[in-house]
Amino acid sequence: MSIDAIDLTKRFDDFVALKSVGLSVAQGELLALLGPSGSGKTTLLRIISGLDFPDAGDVRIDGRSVLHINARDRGIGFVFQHYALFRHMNVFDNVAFGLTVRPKSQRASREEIARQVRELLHLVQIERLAHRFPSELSGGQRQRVALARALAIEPKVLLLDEPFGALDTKVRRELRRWLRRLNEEMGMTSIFVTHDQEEAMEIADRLVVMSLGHIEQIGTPAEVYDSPANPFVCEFLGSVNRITAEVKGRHVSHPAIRLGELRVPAYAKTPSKVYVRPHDIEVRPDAKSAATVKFISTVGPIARVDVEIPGNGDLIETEIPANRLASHRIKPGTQVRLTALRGHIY
Amino acid sequence: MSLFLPSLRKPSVIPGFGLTLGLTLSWLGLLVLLPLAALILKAANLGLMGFLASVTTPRVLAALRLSFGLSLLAAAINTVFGLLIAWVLVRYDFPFRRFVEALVDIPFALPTAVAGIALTAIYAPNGIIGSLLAPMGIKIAFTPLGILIALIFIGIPFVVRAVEPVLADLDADVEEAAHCLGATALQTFQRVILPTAFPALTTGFALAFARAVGEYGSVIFIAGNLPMVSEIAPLLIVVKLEEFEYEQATAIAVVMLFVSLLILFGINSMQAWSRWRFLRAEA
Amino acid sequence: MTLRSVRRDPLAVRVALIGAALFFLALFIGLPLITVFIQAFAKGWSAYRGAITDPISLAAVRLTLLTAAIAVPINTIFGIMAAWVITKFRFHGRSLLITLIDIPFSVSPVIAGLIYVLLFGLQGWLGPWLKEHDIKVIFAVPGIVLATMFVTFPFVARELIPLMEEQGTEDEEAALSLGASPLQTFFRVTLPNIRWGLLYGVLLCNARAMGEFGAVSVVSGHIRGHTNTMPLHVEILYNEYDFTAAFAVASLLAMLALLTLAAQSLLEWKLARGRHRTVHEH
Repeated sequence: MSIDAIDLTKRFDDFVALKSVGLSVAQGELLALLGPSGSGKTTLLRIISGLDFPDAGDVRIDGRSVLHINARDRGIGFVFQHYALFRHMNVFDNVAFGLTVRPKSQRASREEIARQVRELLHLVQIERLAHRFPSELSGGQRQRVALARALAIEPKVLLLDEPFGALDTKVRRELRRWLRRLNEEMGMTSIFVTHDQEEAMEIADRLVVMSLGHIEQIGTPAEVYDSPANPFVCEFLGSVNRITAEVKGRHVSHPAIRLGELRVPAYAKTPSKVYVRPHDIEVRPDAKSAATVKFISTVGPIARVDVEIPGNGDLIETEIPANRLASHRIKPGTQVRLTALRGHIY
Repeated sequence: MSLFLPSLRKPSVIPGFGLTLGLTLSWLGLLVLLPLAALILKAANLGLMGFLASVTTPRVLAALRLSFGLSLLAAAINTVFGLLIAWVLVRYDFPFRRFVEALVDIPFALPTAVAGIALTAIYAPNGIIGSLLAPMGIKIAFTPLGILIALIFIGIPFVVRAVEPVLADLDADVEEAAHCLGATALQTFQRVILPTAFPALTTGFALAFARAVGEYGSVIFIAGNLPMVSEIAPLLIVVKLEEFEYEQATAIAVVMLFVSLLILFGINSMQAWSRWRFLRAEA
Repeated sequence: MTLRSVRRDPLAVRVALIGAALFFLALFIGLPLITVFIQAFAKGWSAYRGAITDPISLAAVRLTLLTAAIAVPINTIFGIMAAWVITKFRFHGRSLLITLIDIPFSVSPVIAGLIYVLLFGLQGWLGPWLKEHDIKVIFAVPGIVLATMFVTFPFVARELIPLMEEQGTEDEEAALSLGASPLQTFFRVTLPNIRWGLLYGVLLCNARAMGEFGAVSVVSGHIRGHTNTMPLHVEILYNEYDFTAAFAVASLLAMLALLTLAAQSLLEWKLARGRHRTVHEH
């Protein structure tokens, strides 16, 4: 089942939430809508789901326009950020809800419904909580119930609005991997909204990076990370150093950092901003260099080395394997030579 | 009254505990508790047998049945319409909505005698509505039906005000979730919204009922006040007073208080249960 | 924020529900209200004015105002004290006290009057003593005032308790720690915080005090010109079939009710703003 959003525009009073946004989702894909608050990602998701309607544009499922069809009839499963569980029903009844509101002609027998619910509870690993009420569950457990409930109606697409936003880091990591596995096992097309780039990069097949109602870039995590289309994407996904450098012809240079290896596009002006990721910078001790190590912090196998370069005292963030600190004898105060192995110029 | 020793409370830097508690209790005692004690004692004067004899006369029983029965019915009608009115005021927008919102409180603010004569003027055989229904043989004023109308009038604000905050606080998410899961609007209302509003509905019902049972001014003009037929219990108390049958009046009053307390206790329990059942308020 | 589509019921449903609700309200509330004024002016303006300026009517007005002038301030003061002790302290029996304060609310007005007759009536507990000292309580103004005070006792407290509960004790503790005396703390810190809720409670208290019928009816002697409040006077006029005059006096009470509601709406708006501010500051 493929989904196409075509030229969607949506206004809320004076605020334009979406400006001519379009994207295509392939069958079975796990797609992330990623961006900061106000980027329009939730609006886009809700329009695709049918909970909101656009001012202009179209939404097509399997090639057919569904704008005139209610959310209820689009065959979607929606998971809300704050779970939206029915407080007065226990877990079992929550999950069974979608099956019990079907018109009599399409409704399964009570035994059949119970069987399906139990299967789902088993799938999300909360069978023993079947008779608890939402107020008695942890955040992670509630979200699993919400997922099971949405899956119960056998939707064609699963839509999740910041599903793990309200959870602790550890639970978040667990659940998103679980979502990934579910997507792989069930092959269900899924679109989820998040502002957490780590989350998106870890589990999505493709990312849609959004900002201020536009789509900035669509691509696989690798594509978007390694070849960001513009400074916004570059800065949003992971940390990056912004270095102002001089461009002469096809060469770019900087007094304190060796940028020789970088490809310079023809349109580059001078001066240009060069974006280099911390782990794309080589750090070697060099007594002749004017750059000095200011801070070092080690987290597990990675050492973050902040280097001060002469001029206006800018700090360049670099990341190197922690064992190099000892082998290269890098300490605060050491003079080092910085070489950028990869970078982007826009 | 010296049950509440300062040592039985949490220490606090805020002044005035003794003074305000003392004065409050004194005033409460003098104005409320002492007179009520007089009531109970007077009734006790009759002795148990005398008490029972006073309150089981056919006339008294008829009055009690009438008062409690019609109050329950009025409160039930108000629960249904109160929910409707609260729903419309909270979820829809229409011209003059604010005005209508304020209108709902009128039965609360309007003196009961004013309401009484106005309602009578409307439903009497020569009144606006009374005259419309008279040819059909339907009499409202001076019959129990008239009493019912008056009791509905005074109970309107209670249910509306109890339910409005609940409806206003309803999470849009939950309704959207139900919709996405395939529920029709009616199913969402029955299975999601109504259970959430149920505790508030019982509160409103209880308040409307309590008010209706004791109501006097709005009712005595439109009621026929015929013993055994359209005589409400409060009126019977007044009649007995005027006949200087103090003990009988007291007995009826005590019964009213007692039965009201019982029913209110029952409704409070149901409220607590429904809060637990539908809101899972205390996890 | 736009109305989300799912909550938007179809037009037909909306119209039907709004129509039903408005019909119900028009029938049960609108109609009686209008009737009061229509009937009052049925015989023209001069008849209306005559009914209102009639000496006996004026006496009723005076008595109503006097009763309210005594009952409301007293109950306001005790209401503030009760709210103070309930919301600023925690002690055993606190919830019992709250329940006790609510008693007059749940008691029939007739019973409210009855209990004073039992205390102060000729055959009441204090009857003989009062007779000896030639003090009349029942069938006289003092009785009316007492009955009115009973009935309006909880109003101010009920308004203040949730409000002061929400505001907590922090402001007062801060003031005291800065050296303010208890009275200064109350007048300069507490009172400004509660002023709109207090005014709201006082308005409700006043409306009920002026409009009370059942309780006052029992203790009053229904003596024209002396022990009749406005509601009682309305009854007398009505029972004498002087409908226009009855509705004329009733219209004054109705206008009082409308004024009270208008003031209430205004205060509710102010209260909501104040609460908003309090929440944001904490």
